[in-house]
Amino acid sequence: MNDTAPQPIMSTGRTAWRLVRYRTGLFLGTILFRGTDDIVPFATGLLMKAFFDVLTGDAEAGLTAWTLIALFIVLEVGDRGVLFFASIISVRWRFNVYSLLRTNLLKSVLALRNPSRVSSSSGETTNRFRDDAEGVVSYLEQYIHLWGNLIFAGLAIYWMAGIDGTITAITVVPAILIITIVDIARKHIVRFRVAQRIATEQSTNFANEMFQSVLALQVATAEDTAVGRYERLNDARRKSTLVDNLFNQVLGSVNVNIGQLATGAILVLVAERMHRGEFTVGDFVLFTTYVPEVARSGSLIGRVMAQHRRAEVSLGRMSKMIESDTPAPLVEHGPVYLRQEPPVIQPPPPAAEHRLQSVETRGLSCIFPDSTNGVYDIDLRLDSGSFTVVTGRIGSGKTTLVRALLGALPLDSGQILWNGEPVADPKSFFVPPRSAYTPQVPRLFSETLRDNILLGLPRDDEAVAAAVRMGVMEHDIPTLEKGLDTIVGPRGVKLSGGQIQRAAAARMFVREAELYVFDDLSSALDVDTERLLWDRLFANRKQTCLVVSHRRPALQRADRIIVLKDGRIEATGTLTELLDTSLEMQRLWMGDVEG
Amino acid sequence: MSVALPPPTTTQDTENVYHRVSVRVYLSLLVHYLQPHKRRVAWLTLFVFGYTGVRLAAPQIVRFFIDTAREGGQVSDLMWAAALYVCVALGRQLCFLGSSYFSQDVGWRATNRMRSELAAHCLRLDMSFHGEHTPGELVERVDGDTSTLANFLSGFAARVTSGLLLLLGVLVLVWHEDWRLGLAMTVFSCIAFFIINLTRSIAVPIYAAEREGFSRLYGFIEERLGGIEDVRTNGAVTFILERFYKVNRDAYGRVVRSEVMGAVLRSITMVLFAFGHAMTMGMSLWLFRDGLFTIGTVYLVFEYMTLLRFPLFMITEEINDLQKATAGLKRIEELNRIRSRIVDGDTEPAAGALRVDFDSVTFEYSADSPVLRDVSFHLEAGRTLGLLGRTGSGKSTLTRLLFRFYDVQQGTIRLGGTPIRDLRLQGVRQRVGMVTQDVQIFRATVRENLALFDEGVDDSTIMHAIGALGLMDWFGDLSQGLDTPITASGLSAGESQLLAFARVFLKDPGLVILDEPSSRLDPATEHRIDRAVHELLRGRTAVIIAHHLATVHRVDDIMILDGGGVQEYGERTRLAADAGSSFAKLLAVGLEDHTT
Repeated sequence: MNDTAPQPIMSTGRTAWRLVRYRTGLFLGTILFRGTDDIVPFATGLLMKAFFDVLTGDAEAGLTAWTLIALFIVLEVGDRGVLFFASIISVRWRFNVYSLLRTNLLKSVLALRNPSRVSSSSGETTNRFRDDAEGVVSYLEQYIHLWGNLIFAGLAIYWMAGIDGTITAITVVPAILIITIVDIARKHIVRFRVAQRIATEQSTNFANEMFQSVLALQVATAEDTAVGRYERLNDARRKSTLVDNLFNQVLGSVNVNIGQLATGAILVLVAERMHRGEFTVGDFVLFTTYVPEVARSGSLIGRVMAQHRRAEVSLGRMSKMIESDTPAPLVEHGPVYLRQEPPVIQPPPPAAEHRLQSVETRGLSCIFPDSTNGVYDIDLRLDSGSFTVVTGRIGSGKTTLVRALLGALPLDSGQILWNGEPVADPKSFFVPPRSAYTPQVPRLFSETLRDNILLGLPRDDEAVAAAVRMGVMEHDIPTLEKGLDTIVGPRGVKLSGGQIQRAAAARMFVREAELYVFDDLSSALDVDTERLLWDRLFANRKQTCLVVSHRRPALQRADRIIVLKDGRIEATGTLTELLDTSLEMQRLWMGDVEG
Repeated sequence: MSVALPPPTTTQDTENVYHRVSVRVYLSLLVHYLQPHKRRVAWLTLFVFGYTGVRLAAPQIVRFFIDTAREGGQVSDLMWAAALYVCVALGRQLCFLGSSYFSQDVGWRATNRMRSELAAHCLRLDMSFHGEHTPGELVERVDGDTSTLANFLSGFAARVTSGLLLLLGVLVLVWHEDWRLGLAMTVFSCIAFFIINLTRSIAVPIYAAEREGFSRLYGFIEERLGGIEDVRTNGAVTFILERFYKVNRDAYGRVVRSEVMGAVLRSITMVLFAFGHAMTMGMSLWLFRDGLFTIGTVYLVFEYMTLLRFPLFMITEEINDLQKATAGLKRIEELNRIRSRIVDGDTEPAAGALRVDFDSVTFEYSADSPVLRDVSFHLEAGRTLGLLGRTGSGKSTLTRLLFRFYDVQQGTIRLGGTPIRDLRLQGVRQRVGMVTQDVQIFRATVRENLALFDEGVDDSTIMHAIGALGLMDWFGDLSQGLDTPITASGLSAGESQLLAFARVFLKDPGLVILDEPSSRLDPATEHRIDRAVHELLRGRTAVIIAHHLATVHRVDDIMILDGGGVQEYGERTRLAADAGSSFAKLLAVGLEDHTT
């Protein structure tokens, strides 16, 4: 969504409308049933008035008290039936809308230009999927009640005005008052809500970090001190929640309170007329039934506005996360597969257009925000079948360079060319069958080892076995509980560091891409294993390779070495050339010897 | 937490707990978590009871008003009654706000304490537990499940008591008007309670299943978001979406089942009340026509019947919440029952550099596939052992045993001469420091990252560690000194390593374990690390796992592991001199590797 033409900013109202339109049938069903329920108090009020009027003899004619009681039962039981349907329809509607938001959020996050920020705070991001989606849906739910309540209010006011216009007017005024008060107060809600969300986030984020670092904390016996910090964060969260809730409660109770005061006002106002017998007990019952309900209906408008603000905050945060100026991508309609199986989409089979002749970068720069770290002005060329090693000190930009090339980081300037043609969107271009990648710290998921290697790719056991062998992992498989079908645990914790790295290598090899990119594949491997890996790779290599490494076995096999220093290319050439000409290369080479 | 929960029982019990958690458990939970907040609970009780009082009073005022008006009483009396009503309305709001504020405050305090206790418990569990639970899942337990208990802890007892008080008040006042109607309402209340209670146990497993579904969904999202780069660059975006749809659909089924169940339960009570109201109307009609009731009294009993809805509904709701809480409590309890397999010892480890002894140690993670076989070695205090071997030869496992992450099946490990099983676990981990290749950097300040949130460590100590490990240059660039917030992505691998050294240095252990310390570093950075390692190892016993032969030069002893057994063990210089040793061969291979 960042690469297409900028979309018009979408207002919260229009965003909501898009969501309402998503499952219109379910939404209308929900509204119909919930709305009917909201109008029921009107009929109840009339029945009660009739009952008391029959008792006091003020009724004009018609139904007996017993008939009215029977009608009362019918009305109540019928209302329950309506509510039952409302529940089972609205839960479906709600989950559909949630799913749409979550699905779009996930799709957008997976397509981010720079996903590393989201990845490094996955706990916080998960809150977007949960709490902010909730914020938006509960806003829509306000609308479900709105129409029924307004109809009720209209009918009730009309009926009451027929009995006594003055008293009716005095009861309607507070409702308007409420709306005004809540309206003025609503801008504060956002502030408290935001503070509360931030506090919640800090707490859950830290909890996530804590559980991600169990080993480190246990090793350091820092369990208690970490819990101490968690406790302090939770206390801050308590305070901000109390403030937020208290504010909402005060606003909410203002609504109810004015309804109550209006009832008090009715008592004052009708005293004379009731005393004179002009105002029946039935009328009084009708007014006391209707007035709080009308006030509540009026306050609903205020509540919709307040929820509108909340939804705006939530949408803003979700949009920000997906680096969009508008919530439009979040509410784009599409299937969520709640009732049918999702279609299985496979990557395209390798075709001529995927063949690599050359990959080039021209003036490629990629700088991390708020720092000078990054790579500047990189010109490089990889020819078909070549083996290129990127080397340099820590912080020289090696990883940044390969990630920028693959579209995992956004470019600040420069161009990437594939077979001489500029690549418009590297992140969607550099995927299998063109390229495959093993990051420096690969992530595996809590699925079977086979699924982690294949990631949905339809390959037979033979192909998996071949990839496993290429990754020098064939001897590890039998030691695992269930071989390739072992669930590797969250982040692959059931495997050793080296096994994770080699599983990730197998994951890359099974994709049979034109270009393999290794970011320091050897870092968790011992000398023998590493040598074996390079031997096997060179034995039947057709592919082009780009390797980040500082180890000799890789450097010695390189067709070309690119030495990076402070984010710029310091020198390029073969090992022999560079050892003669580049001081930096000599240092890197010697450093390893003296280590 | 241990105070509140029954002792661990066999797994067969768990089925029953789903349906009912005994009152005793709830009571002990309340006592445990609310005791520290007595004053707040007292305020809460006061407001809750006040709320009940004003609600009972309001219909009495209206009855007086109606009857006085109909019977031609004084208009001034009517005005007084109306004014009193307004005051009661205001009092009602005050009580409402007070009770809601204090109930939330108490609830949050108690819930937070439960969160801390649960988090502490989880952090202490062994790695076999953490291997099976994602961080996202644990957050859902520690944060989500405790949230369901928040309502219970925030004045469940006060609310239920006030509900019962309101119920009792209504019944007594109605009996006072007419015993027959009073009796009818009492019988009705009993029936209602009976039916409500009957439904109590049905919903719990369904609510639990719903939460489980969400827990899986968010766990899935959290984990996948952590690996976007892996997913995308390997073309697996559609695959991840496909999986997401499946997990989401599973949650959907659970939510729908839970909602339908809720709707059924609500229907039952609501129909019940429709009949209750009809009954009251019928009987009042009859009492009114017999001249026993005034029209004001008919209004009063009708209002009271309406009021009766409140406590009965509220108690149903509280019980519903309690059922949800029970589901949460149940899961929390399950978590709490998981005990580390490690039984703590009570001896404190010796001070100073620690001697390490392995006597015929055999260890396996799962039955019949030993990772270490009959490993013996004796590392004198202050010496450094270099551990060599292929990936999977058992090096990492060996170092983990030194922290007693696991107990060995055969043989004995001794630290400072004492068997590790006899030592206090926390004592062991305080005396042993480790730097792994994967350094965990928290999103927190430098100080917090180095002292690992221990506020008792003073700045000069931290600065000393920074200076000793050659991090002064890096520190000089920080904008806010020790208060500078850092993140993992803002640090280079070398800086992370050095920070990890500083952590261990601050801990001042007697035994240091370096697991593959120089991996993923360039040679220039390795030099800096080398100096830091030198500083760190001074006066300490150390075990170093190394892949670079260069690293091996600094060690005193060498042990080569192969397939979990000791292939070779001895002094480095002696092994290097012996041309027939594996170590010498390895050196030769390594050197060959370096020179060709």
